[in-house]
Amino acid sequence: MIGSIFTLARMYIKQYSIYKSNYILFTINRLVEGLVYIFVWLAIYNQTGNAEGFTLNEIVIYYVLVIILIPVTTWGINEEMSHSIRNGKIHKELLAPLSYFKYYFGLNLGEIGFGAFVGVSAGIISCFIWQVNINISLVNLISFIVVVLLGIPVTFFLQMIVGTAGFYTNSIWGMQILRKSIVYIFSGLIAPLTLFPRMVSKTSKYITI
Amino acid sequence: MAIIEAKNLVKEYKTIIKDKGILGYIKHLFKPKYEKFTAVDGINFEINEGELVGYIGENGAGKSTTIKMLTGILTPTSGEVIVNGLVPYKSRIENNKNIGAVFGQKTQLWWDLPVIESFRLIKKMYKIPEGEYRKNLKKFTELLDLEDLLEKQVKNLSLGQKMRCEIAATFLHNPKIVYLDEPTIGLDVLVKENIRRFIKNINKEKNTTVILTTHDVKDIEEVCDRIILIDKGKIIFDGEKQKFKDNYGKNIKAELIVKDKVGNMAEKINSENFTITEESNELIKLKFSHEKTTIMNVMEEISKYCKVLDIHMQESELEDILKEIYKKG
Repeated sequence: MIGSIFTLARMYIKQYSIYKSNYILFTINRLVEGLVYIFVWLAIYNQTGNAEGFTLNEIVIYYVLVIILIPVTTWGINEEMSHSIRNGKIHKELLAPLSYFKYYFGLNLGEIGFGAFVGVSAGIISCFIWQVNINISLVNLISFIVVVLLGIPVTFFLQMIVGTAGFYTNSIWGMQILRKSIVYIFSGLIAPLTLFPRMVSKTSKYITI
Repeated sequence: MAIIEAKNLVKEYKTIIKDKGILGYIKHLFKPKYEKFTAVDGINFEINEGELVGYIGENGAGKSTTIKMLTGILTPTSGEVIVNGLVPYKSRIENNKNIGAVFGQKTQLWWDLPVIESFRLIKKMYKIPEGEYRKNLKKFTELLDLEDLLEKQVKNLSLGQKMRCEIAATFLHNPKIVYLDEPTIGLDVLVKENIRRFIKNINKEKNTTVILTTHDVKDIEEVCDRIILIDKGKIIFDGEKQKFKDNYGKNIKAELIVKDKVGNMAEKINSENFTITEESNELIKLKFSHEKTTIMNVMEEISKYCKVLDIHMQESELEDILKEIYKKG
């Protein structure tokens, strides 16, 4: 069972990796997105002289981490799932000797695996661009990885909710935007959670995205 | 012993009724109307292990819906279906381990990856032992001529090449039952022949039960021993291929080589027992029902107007029989 899930994940990574352009374009995309965030904060910093209590170096480090994490937290299989429902490819998935849920969990792991590779690559390049030196202890690194791994099932369930909406609608675009917005806000990808209104930052503590 | 049993199997769909025009569509948003459509209407059959069954019927007759219920993809509205001791829609995953299926042109192969990668995934998912996987792969590669295709990306294969790989993927885990829904659609004669030979070979060697739905009568002629004919969701024939021909193939075609023919025969002979379909100075083509008359009576009538030198008779082919049945509706 676990073997099948990991094989599916590997297949998905291979499928993405077969075109070099996939990797290059996704990495550039992440870099540009990170660049935009950092420039916005630089502008705020230059105008106000501070960034809501964060030093400039802290803000840059924060967004380098965001660049690494965006693919892991926001990419997913909901679009593929809804397409497969619409075009009848769902036959293939329903005829597999494992559940639909596990089948897609495998694909989702593949997507996240490739996303992590893209994110880390973009993160390393960003560190060079912004001359960032992330000093992190081994305990912190392990905790960081554990938190990311714990977030995977949560984001997967969100993906399943949006993807299976394909049974009832021929376009999940709106729902996908909604899902991404929720993830962006509550995971702190747009801005550090401490900068949000008290209620939002309090709520985000209970949502492990 | 029956490996597949269907008892009073019914599948109903809800279809949308819309009024005409844009207003009709907008009205549907607020007050949708539906009607019931019965795709499969109380069918019963039993299929034994190792049988090669042709499940045929016109477009929309309910063939694919039945197959989907047998595979567990669809849940029947009512009735009972048991496949290899399991109720497919209740034990879908367990059932999937024992079956293989090809659904027309919907591929189970991974589009961007080489074919062999999809085979490896199947090996892993169905837990095929290494030795068995290698043995099957070698055999299927020879039978379906896959040697040059295994390392090619699926998207670069032609339709025929893709279908050969698809068939190999379906049989790779030695399924007890294989459902083939139009496996030869759009393929050239040689590929079709290759696939038919392969199915027969595997059935003979591994006693695999095969249920084949197709519009290509040659598939049925060459592969199947038994025919189930479905029309408007109901089974109208279930039996051996020869019995089907005996029941429905009452028309006989005859070609008469003649000489000294006088005038137009079709105008001169106005018989209810036979019909002249084509004629020239040397040849008369006609058809008659063996229930109404005999070739001797036909000859007697014809020889009034010409000398008959030779006769060639032909029983109705499956294709002609099906055409007649479909025309009658």
